[in-house]
Amino acid sequence: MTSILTAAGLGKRYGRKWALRDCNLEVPEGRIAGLVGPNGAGKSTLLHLAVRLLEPTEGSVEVDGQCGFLAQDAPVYAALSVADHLQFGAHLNPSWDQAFAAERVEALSLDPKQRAGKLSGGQRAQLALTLALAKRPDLLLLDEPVAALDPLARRDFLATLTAYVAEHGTSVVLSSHLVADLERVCDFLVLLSAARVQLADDVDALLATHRRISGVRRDLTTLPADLQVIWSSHTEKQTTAIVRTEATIHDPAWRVDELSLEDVVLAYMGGGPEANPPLRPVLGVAR
Amino acid sequence: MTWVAFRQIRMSTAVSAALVLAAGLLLGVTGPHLSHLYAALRSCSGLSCGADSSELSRADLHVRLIGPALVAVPLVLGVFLGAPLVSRELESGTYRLAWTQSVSRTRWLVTRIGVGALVVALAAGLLTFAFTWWSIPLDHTDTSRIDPAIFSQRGIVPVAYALFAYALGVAAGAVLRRTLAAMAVTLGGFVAVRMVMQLVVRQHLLTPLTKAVALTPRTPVDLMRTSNGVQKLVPHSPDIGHAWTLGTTLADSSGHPPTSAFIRQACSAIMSIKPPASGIRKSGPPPPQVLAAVRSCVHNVGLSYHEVVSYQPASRFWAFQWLESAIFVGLAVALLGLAVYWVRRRLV
Repeated sequence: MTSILTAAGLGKRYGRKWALRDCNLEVPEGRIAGLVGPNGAGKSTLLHLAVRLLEPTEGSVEVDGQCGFLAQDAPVYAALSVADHLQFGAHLNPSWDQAFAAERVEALSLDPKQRAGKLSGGQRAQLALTLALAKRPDLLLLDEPVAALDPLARRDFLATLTAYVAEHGTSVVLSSHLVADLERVCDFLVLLSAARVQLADDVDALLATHRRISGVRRDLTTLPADLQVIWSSHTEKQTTAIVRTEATIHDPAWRVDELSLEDVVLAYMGGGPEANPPLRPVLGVAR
Repeated sequence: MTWVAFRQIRMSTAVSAALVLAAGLLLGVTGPHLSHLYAALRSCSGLSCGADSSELSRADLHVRLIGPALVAVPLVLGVFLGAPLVSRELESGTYRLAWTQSVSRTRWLVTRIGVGALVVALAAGLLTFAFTWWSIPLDHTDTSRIDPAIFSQRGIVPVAYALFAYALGVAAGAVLRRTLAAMAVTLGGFVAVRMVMQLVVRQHLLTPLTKAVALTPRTPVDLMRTSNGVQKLVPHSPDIGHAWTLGTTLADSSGHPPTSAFIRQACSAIMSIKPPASGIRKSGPPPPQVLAAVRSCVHNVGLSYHEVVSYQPASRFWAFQWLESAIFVGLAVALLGLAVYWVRRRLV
């Protein structure tokens, strides 16, 4: 498995605050990787470092091939027409595929003479995506591409993206602060929180190895060594935990449930499953 | 990249071209008639011309308005083409689009700067050329082209001013990241540098020439008088063949200025005349006895002292044009260098 994006000890500091630190990451080729984390976790910083809009304070980040980048809020030139934007792309990228771009504009029923400033949010995002795709990138980096879109535009955008990727096998890194956006399209997940990478793995592997266990209240330190507790919560009578394990859990005292991707992500970010809010989770363990 | 750079400033280029065209038409239509009229009216004296004085004042108005308007052209070009070049990309977030294509950020910036500079230089150059042509009849009769009021509207310096204003706008936009702030800094900075150059620096670019002129009783002078007597006598600068006169001092045959004791004694006649009761002076010519006293004073001083006029001759017009242009183009290059450095190293 070769990686398309490799970060080693990557860090970026603004003044005294680290926006990203100790980032070691390998995103495998040919995948749609979701980059998830709360606002301000360093997602944009990581993507900007990858496309060289930013220089790292420490460490390095390498992309094996050409990047196509769609920045947050899909910036376009308000005064330039749709056709002008295609010319823009053609003049600035030797690998530009004009036939593809024109075809896309037609399929989206965009008026080539329309000024980009007059487009709707969804159309603007589609135009910006067209600019990123028509340069035929090896890696497509998308920074919160659907955050500002309404549900219909969001669905259309993701449909366009997945169809293109299915056809061309392009690698993608897609950031969002909402796991639900990523769940449908991603097969690899990177979780950033508090300026650090908390998790980076296959979605299938994450779902296969994470389980919610619940049962009569007991001390979690008595669990087998290969069972890693990610999050736990205790009430007077019951203990609930989210654990990571390669093995199957045979202990009949536990009820074992599968988890959604969102539950896994929330567990790493310190929150429990929605239906069962944590009650004094830390104190509960200590008592 | 060149196409992109042109496309980004298509609107400002179109507006500049329209303005140049409009100004060219105005100058072309009014030019020959107004200029000749103005020149003819200036060369005859007062009422003897029999010319319509309203026509004169109209001609005068045109000459007084068009020159200063031309002085503002470099500033306008710098403010509207220079200041937004980087700052607008940063403000609208489109730098994230522009700088993530296959063209390096440096090449993007250098091409955009170059294309903008071409437009600025062409606009300023064409306007100055048209205005210089328009002013030919005036320049033959009026004061010299080296006079500070006219110097900055002729030749090649307006192009250098425009490039400087443009570069100042680009650099301010890159550093401040705000279009409006960059425009304000361009405005203030340009006016300040132009004034310092015109009022302080320019006269020292070449060592002034000096000329000895006899001090005669008819020479107009300023006198500085206190209760102790006349302290100082400053003759008005005479006209020296279309030159730019910088100042006039008094000197004897060995080059020494007169002492105030000498002046006091030579002009003692003035002290016998009572000064006006209050500080308010009556307008109109001075009373005859004052005039006589001043003339005798100037005559006495003139027996041993002559005027030394320092001036820049009209023949140095092009030397000054090249020197000043070189300075402003040099400043422009330095500012553009700063802008490139800033965009490459600081905006990351």
